[in-house]
Amino acid sequence: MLKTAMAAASVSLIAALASAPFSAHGGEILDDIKNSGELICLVNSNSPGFSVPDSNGKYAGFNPEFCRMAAAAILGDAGKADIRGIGFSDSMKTIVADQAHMAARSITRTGTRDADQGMAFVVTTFYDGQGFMVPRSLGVGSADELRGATVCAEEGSTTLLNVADWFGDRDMNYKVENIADKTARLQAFFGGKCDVMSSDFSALAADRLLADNPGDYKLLPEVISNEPLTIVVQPDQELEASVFWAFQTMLWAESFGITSQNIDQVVASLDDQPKAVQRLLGADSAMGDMAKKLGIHETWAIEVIRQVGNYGEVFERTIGENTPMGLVRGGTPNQLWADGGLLYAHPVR
Amino acid sequence: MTTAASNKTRSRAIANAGSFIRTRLFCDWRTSLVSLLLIALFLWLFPGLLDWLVLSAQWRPTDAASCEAVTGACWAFIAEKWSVILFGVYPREELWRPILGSLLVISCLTCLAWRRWPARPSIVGLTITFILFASLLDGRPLALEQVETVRWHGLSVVLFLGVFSLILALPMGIALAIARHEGPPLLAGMATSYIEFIRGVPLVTVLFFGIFILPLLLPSGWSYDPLLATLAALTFFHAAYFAEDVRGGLQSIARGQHDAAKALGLPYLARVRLVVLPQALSVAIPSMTNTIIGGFKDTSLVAIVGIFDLLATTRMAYSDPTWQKHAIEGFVFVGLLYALTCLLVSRHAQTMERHVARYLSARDKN
Repeated sequence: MLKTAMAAASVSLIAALASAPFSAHGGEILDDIKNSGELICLVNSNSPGFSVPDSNGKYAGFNPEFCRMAAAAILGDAGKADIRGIGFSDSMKTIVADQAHMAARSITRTGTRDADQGMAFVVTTFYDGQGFMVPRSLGVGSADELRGATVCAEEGSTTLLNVADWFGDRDMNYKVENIADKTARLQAFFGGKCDVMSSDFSALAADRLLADNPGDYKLLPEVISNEPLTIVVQPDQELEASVFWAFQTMLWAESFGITSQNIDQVVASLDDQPKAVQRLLGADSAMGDMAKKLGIHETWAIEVIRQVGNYGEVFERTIGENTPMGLVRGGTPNQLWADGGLLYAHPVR
Repeated sequence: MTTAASNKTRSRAIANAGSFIRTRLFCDWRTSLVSLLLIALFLWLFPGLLDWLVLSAQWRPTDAASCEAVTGACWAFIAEKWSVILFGVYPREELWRPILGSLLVISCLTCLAWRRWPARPSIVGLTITFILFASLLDGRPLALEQVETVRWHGLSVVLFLGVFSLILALPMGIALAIARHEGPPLLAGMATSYIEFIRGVPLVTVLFFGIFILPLLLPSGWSYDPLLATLAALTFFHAAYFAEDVRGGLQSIARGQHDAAKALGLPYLARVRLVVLPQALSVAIPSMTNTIIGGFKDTSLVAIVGIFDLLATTRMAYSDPTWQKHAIEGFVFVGLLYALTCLLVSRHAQTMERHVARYLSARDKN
């Protein structure tokens, strides 16, 4: 009895200590970014295509682009993003412990995480979902036919829980081959040690290309979990607004065909552009008005597009079909809403 | 004349080799069987390894695509990624700093490994090396641009944590061992409980608590550098293991040594420093070498708390989408690095042991 009371007390003590610095924020974090002139942004340290240091030791990939987006919007210079690689569970702890401003680290937004204090989910940059990859020789066309299969998956992630749900709901028995290291896991799968490999679709698509003969493997159509990979920031209403609307700018730019290449021409001929583009890029536009209220870089929309690009550009440049990742954007939720995806640009007014 | 002499030496060498093979490898049927089996194993493994590592390997520093054609190792991967594997995301324009610092530490260790230096210059030299190394990496003490510890990766971190935690832990371990072995009861009890506590707790738990829990318990605004905290944790940890190694040495010293030194009128500290410790430490060399090598390899556990050791940076290197197929080459490279370092350490231990043996035999002759 005493033991439980003490345990409860120590938990609430940690919670109280952790939450103390976050009681009142009216733009304090944003002020901190502006005063220090640097935005500390956490990314994955070794996620192919999504975030990994290039040969010059600079983080490159899909996720770091959103760190650069935030820095371009707030400070007017994408290069002012202090991008740091970090392990998965540490990233949320680091945000809560006030050691970083933001994380673009493929963090799935979930209810319980959102209820935690000290961090705020802002906007989903990539809609992923868990699926299965099988060798064609297995002769399976649907994940409903995997009875008795041996599944290769990463230990300690939600991956295994989702697999357990899927097989449990269908009363199918299965075996798990727990392999923490990705290279070893892939070798086990390609070597025939397991029948099925389960991971997020984006990862599976890239992994398939690592086989000696990728044509021998296929992805099953079932998506067994929803993984909205979302930007996390320290709770600060003004910072959240800045990041959210910087991302909307990237979506609007794509839908109007504005890219990092043609942004200067568009700005030069702003009077001939549609009204919505004028609201986005003009000097006395809605975005300019927001910049004044939030206290961030005046021409933030232009800087984001010029220095980072629109959403489609970033996607194709880092993980798209013409990269070694070879992800096909068409048919996935990661298209603009107009094309049948989930990316729905909010009105700038 | 000279040819005759060299012929003679050669034929003697051949005769020696012949007798070595006869007397050591094939002296009876059981030995012969084991020798044959081992030779067969070697012949079975070696050609494949040689082929993969050398003959069929891609040695030219080119792009990943040209590695598709070869069946062996792709050393172009190392040529492209050595800086990421060794130093991670340390800013490239400042890369000379960790390179210079690491060379400094490695050459310092190599010197120690090949010759036995007197204790005091070695300790002073190591301390200066440590300070120089840390100043080079950080930059501020040398009026260079500061590079925060979050960008110290790979080899720099392994040397910083692995080498220097062991160096710092050694004196602490010796003090603990003496306290436990011959200290007054209260002190001995404290040393014993410290050692037993540390040995009873996994290193990972200590690291995890120090990096994630402790900062939350500190008053707001207080914080400390995770890398320095890890250095402290590793030091406290290794000290407990060193203490037990040294205590083993202390137990081998006969009580009479103490009494004899006392009879000579030496005060306590001088007795320990001049009589007891030199003998105890020389007995403890093999087990201390064990702790040093184990401790050095344990450095890779810091990956748990988000510090990027050599394995983590190797993972960064082969996670580059274009080079994903070359993880093995990266691991072979890092494995060689670890093998070399551990070889240096055991070489150093052998030098010391030989020195001790020479000293003892000289003493016995007198």
